[in-house]
Amino acid sequence: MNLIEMKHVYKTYHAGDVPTHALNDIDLTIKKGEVVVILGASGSGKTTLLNCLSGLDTVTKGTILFQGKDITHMSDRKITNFRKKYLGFIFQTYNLLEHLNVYENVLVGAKLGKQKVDINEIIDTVGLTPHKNKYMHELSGGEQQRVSIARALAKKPEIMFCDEPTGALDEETGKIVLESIIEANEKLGTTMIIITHNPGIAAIGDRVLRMNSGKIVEEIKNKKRTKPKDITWG
Amino acid sequence: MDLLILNAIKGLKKKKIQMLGIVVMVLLSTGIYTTMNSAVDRLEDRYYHYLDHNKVEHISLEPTIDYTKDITPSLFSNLRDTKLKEVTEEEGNLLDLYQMCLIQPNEACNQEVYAALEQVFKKYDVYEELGNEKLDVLAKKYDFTYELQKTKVVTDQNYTTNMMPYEEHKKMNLPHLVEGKFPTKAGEITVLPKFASKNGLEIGDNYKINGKQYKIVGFAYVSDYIYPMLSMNQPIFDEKYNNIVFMLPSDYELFDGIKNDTYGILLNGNYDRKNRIANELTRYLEEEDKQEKTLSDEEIESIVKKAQDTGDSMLLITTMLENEKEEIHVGMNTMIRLLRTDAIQMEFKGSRTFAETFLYLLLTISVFIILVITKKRIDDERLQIGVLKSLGYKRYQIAASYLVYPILGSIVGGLLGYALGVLLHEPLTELFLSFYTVPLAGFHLNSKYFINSLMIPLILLSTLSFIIAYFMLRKKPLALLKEGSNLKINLLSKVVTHLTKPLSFESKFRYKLASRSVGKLLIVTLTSFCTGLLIVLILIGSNLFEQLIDQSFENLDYKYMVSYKTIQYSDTTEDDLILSSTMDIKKVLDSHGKEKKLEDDEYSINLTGIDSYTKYIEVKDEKEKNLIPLLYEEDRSIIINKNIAEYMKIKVGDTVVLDNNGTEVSFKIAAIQDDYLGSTSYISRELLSKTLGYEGNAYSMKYTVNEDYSNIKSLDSEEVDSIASVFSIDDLRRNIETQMGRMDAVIYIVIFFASFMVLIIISVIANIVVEENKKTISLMKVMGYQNKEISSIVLNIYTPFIIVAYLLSIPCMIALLKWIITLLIGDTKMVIPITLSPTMAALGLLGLLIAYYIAITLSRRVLNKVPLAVALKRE
Repeated sequence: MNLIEMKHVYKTYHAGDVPTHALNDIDLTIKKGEVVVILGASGSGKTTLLNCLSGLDTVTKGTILFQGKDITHMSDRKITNFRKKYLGFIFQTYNLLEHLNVYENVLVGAKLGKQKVDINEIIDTVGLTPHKNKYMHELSGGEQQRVSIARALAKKPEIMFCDEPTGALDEETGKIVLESIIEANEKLGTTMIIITHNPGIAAIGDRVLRMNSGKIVEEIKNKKRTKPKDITWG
Repeated sequence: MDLLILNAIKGLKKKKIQMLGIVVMVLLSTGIYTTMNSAVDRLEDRYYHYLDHNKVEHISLEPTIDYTKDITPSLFSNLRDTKLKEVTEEEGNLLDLYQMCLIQPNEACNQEVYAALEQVFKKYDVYEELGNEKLDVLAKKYDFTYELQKTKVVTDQNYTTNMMPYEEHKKMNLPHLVEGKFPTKAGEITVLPKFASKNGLEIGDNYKINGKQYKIVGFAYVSDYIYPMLSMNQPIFDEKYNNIVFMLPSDYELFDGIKNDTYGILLNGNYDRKNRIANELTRYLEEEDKQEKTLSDEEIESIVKKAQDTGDSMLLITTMLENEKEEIHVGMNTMIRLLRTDAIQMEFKGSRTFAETFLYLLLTISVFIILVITKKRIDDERLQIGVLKSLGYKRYQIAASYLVYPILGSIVGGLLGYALGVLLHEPLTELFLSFYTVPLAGFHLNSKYFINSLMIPLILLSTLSFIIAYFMLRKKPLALLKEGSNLKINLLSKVVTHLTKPLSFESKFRYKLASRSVGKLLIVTLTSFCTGLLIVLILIGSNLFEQLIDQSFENLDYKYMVSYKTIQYSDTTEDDLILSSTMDIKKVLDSHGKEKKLEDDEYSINLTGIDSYTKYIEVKDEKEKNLIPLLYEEDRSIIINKNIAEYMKIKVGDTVVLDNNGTEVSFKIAAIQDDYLGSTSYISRELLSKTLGYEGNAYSMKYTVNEDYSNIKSLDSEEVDSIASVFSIDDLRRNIETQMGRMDAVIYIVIFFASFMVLIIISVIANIVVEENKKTISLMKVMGYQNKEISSIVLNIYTPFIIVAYLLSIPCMIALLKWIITLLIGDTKMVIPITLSPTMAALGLLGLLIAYYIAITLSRRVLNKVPLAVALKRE
């Protein structure tokens, strides 16, 4: 069964009198457990696609189904619940809570999950056990991003949306972060949707959707996933 | 720099609530400042002119008649043939005794006899003749004018009236006609204008006083009754029930009332009326080391000239009192009359001080708000600031752009506040006129208040804001431009982390969020502390008067306290007979007879001699036990009140040694009464009587429920002549309760004002909390937290700090009030209990928290509107 389906989705912004078609007749499906990389330059619409897929933004036209259920016109309260139950997020700028330490930041995410989780185990998954009680200003960029991953995984989401997860990181650190993401997918079965402009990252996914001007212009199925440490950094 | 300022102006839209907070604070502060000063101006501008133009006396004094020296046998014989020809039998016997003493000094003629004689002389105007002779001499010596000021007091039902003879050619205390005319015919009177309006009286109406009908022909002020306190029964002027009436001298002579004549003294020359004689005279009278030598005529002339040249009235008055102590003395009425004419100056000073204090207090709160806004903006714009600094902008240039808030807030708030103040001064002036009878100056715009309303907030807020912003912009450009987390965890956060370990996640989250910025937390706590002070002040103030009054009145079951001009003798048990005296405490001995250190070596106590069968006076301890029987268990026992006990640190079992006109007398403390009013003590009347050298059944006052004393027409003329005053407890209670009723209105206004201020301040803070944590809020929404859940952990972060700040404000305000009261009441040696019951404290906290949660609820709307896009924004 498809986890997510998008059917004839349009998203148009009106800045003054000029309409901007951020998404132009998008059709896509995502299966459970997949790692999908959405590739495109700035302004291609990939972030808008991520926002619409995750319920953070509404579409102008079209339908979005999650596990066969139409989530297109859900109320604010219901869509928030939806995000709470099924989705996790990783951002380029980490978006961690600076006044909380590593453990507490992960706990913020865990609080949303129905199941009780072992925070220490999750922190261990991302290799941050020695830094459990540290605050964000005491961590490097890569370490902060791994905290962000741990937080997102803490509530055991069905899907993780990763918006430029390595955008602020160097190659070495970026690869470590990507390894955590793949590991989480392999161990927990979490579907990963990764937005990036770095073509090298496309190799780690099952599928690559190339976007341009609000359309999916190419869909590539990778025969085999490349390990993050082996990719060519773009 | 223009672009920076433009940027700041554009950002104002997002800071509506915070700007509103600043504008409201400035508006309130300048509004109150302008209102109070404008209203006081209208009183004060004409007041000093009024004193001069209407020749208001400087002081009132009594000539001292020395009955052993000042009256010769021949003079007295003459008087007996003229003014003292038709006297009563009892009066005749007294005069005969005195005549004998004039010829041959006799022990039978003592102070008691002379006091009685003086009442007879006053009754038949002999005192005036003798007094005038003395004052004629002094008037030439010290260059002043004198005149006997005649008053008769009458109480009828709830109304107390002072009657005065209207004379066209008065030398001083000239009345001021407000409307109509002065009496020219018998049966015509003038009344106070406010009395007329409160009682629905107009010119031409008839009005009954003491059963006789009079016609109102005019409304007039009495210039020596600016604060028209009519009697000790009515310490607070009641415009509805208190009146001062002018009538023709012929009507006045026939009028029955308690006479209260005294000599007014008007110093000739230009004296500075801003000298508060009441204060200075009190200080002078309490001084021990007064000059002993007698001045020569030349020396006196030189002092008179100096006083006139410098305008120093006290120099002349004190010289006169010291040099002529055999001839004149300060009488019972002196201080009351001084209060009437110059107490209003306390109002001027007090109101202006209040206005200025409030101005700066509210502006300080505005500074706090600006501090928080500026810090927030600098935090938000750190990247921009980093870029600007890298480009070469100087710190002061960037700091200057933050002046938009204080400048705009000051100008808008100041202008609006001034306008509001001008509008509201009129009702406040009317309120002042309820208490003071003084002609008003017309209103004129005073540019000083306009300039101050604009400039003080502008300068204060701008300067402090600039300094704050300049300090906050100290970071190097690179530090500002650094990506990722910039927040270092401060010591407070670490302590809070440690302390909150056992708490739930939500509580930990809240306290950590609150403690992340020490500056902001400090501002919230200090602001809450100041607001707590204001709330506690209101609660204590509203309770204090009621407490004092309840405490004092609950023990008083009599209706009238009748004071006599001379010592009376009786053993009647129908009324409570009281003998009173005042003595200084010379020593205090402990229960072992060891002398204790005196807390105050000039402390006087009032001794009240009562009988064991007293009906109307209750002397009880904290446990409501009746203490009077203890006076009769042991010899020479005395009961003191808590005021004396606490002030002088005296305990039960101690012995007090008192100065009875140069002789030491001692009494043992049998008990301590649970009362704080005055320095009152109780002793057996018989014991006091003998101590003072009288027969055992002497009394000078009577406590009675006899309704005849409500209207002196019911009493016989001999009784009336011997009465110095009738003090009605009902009148006093009603007078104070009426005024307290007015005070309640003022208290509710202040409570509303304080609550409104709390609401504004907390709304601003809550708004800032939301703004500051926008990213956190947005992120939590993205993650799936509902608005309600986010509100509960982000908005309520300061609750415990606000509670702690309020609790701290309670002891601070209590201490501050005690200090203020000591300042205000000066050296009266009173101990006023300043307390706040747990219930009232809890109510105050509840009020504060209600205002806090209303503000939080209002901020929830702002929180709910925080978009998801904030978290999703890339930097």
